[in-house]
Amino acid sequence: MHLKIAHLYPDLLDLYSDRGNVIILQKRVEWRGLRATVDEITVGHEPDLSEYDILVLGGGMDREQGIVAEDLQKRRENLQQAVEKGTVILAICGGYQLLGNYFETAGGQRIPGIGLLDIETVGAKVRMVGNVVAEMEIEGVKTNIIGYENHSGKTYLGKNVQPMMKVIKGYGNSGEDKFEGVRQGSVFGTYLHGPLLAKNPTLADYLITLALRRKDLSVRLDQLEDGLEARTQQKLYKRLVESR
Amino acid sequence: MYGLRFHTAVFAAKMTKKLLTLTGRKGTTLPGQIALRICPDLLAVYGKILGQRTVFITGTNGKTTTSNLLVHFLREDGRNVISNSLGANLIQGIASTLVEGVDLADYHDQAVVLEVDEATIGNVIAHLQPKAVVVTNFFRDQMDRYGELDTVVEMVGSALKKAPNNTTVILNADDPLVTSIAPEGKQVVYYGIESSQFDATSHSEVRDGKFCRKCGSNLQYSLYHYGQLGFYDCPSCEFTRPTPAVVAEDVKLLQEGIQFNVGSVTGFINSPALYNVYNALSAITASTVFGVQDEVLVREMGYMKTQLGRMERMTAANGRNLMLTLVKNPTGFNEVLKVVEHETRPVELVIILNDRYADGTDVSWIWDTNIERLHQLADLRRIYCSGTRAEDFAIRLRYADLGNITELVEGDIASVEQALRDLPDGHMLYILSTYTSLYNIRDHLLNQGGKEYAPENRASVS
Repeated sequence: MHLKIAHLYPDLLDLYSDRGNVIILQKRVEWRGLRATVDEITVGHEPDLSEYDILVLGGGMDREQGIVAEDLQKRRENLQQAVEKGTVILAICGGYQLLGNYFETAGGQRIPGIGLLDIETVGAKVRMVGNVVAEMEIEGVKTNIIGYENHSGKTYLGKNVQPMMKVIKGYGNSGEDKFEGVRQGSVFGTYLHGPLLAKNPTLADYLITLALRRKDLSVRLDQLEDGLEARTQQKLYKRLVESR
Repeated sequence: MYGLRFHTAVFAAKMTKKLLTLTGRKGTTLPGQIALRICPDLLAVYGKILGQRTVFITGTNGKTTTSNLLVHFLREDGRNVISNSLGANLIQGIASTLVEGVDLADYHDQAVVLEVDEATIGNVIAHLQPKAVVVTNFFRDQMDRYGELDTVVEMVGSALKKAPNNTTVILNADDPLVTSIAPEGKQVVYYGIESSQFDATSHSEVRDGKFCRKCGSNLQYSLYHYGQLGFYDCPSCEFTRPTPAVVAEDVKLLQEGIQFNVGSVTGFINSPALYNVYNALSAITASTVFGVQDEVLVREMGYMKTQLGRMERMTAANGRNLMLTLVKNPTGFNEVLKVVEHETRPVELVIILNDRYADGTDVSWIWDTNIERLHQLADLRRIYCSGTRAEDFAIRLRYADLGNITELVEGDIASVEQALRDLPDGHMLYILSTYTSLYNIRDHLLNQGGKEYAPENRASVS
């Protein structure tokens, strides 16, 4: 089996080391003896995105995000098509905001998103910065997720989406409702860096499984030796949550 | 007399400093904080007293090394120099430095070298009226504190506009982020590297400032030094690398350090990292602005020492060779990796990753390092990870397929101890540490009987 990953706008949305997610997805597929390839796609490239199993978008600066917002408009239908064919999308921070309905800057200017996620984001003055501990239900099992957030946009969920996680420590989408990230079908959006998948291998494997199901519904991944990640999670959980 | 408030503030700050010293503390910020509370225009008064004998050094990397080299050049030239050499570069630290250093009875020969934090410079520049401001470079760093890199560049840019009209601005010509903030109507002097053995026509490193800050186009490069530093040109507007007045040519890595030519003078730094050439160039340029005598500068350029814990060679108590260096962002880390790659002896590494406030609380940046490059090393034996986020680095190494030689050790000093104890003779230990463990490690090594490295002869000084 061959997992095709596309890293979208690696040159523009590259601020918070989110490219780590791409490395992690690829390695975890390869370690199971499967093939994984990564294509980097940016402004000017026009491949059919529905050919890919996973699309990854990171966070960027306002200036770069503006360029991406414009380019994404041209790919709106293609992205819709990809989602219909089961392509998994992981969008972090700026990438997450751009998949929503719109982003309204603190100055009141409204930048249209592509409406792939039913969310709205409003710029605030205060940045929400720091470690985040959250809980996510993955195939019926409650799983701790640990990451790092750094955003000033507050994201609110529409009625067509579910929050991806519940915040235990940190701000999350808006700092108001204890929600972090959203999930709408196979599209996942979150503010968490770290990068997100580094300390959360269960989530990484879940995304890989969903993507592989495009080809084979019965797919099951072999278990990897993730003791290091489990110990890291425990240590940070103790420090960030229990000793507060 | 400068007013009762001012003198009261200075007196109170000096008393505070004395008390802190008595209780064994360094007192680099509290005295200044108290003085500023008593006399809010304290810095403006100092600005008048010092009458443009002050230089600021700001930018992401190299502030401390540049300051220390400049202080050295000025002292060798016979000046009485005050500086915040311990790196207390926020407003309270600057005030503390001035209260402690400025001799109110005899200040006419005093010169002040201040490294200034990028978010602080805008608050102090109009008061202190520096004669010169050096901007070293801009890289992604500590985004937990500043938000975006663009914000930092903007902050320093608007500070430069507030400088007095006769301030000389000294800029790194090779960094497009730095040259984009050259202020209009002020004297600007550029320095840069013309040719080096590290040059490349393409690279895959993390690169900030890919886009022209004037028009937004993708900058084109005919040459890269490292990061976004190199020969750049905007295809859509007139923004381009300015021709530097002070240039380094033929930069070469030697066993003991790095060598380069400035005109007919050969400079040598005892630390083998390309970024130190920039630090030396900016210190040399500032020295010329201050009128340091040529013969002094030429003599001192022949052997320059970078400061503590910056690619510093040491010999441990058990005779093992090691190098200790600060790492805090991906560009700096990648430059250290390039030096490690040139090592001919078998190599072991200690990496200490902390996430305290002074280190930056976000450790995501380790994923922007090219740690995979270590595979090119012929003989890499072991990598110890320590610090408050040791496990995060171990995970990074796992995904770089280096997990099999990774070992986690609890405690920063313990990790160095263990590495030195197990290090075979003839092997080389590199210790890479974030800020809050760096000096602990260094002090510990010296307390145990380790020594600063002293070359037997000054190789390659012409």
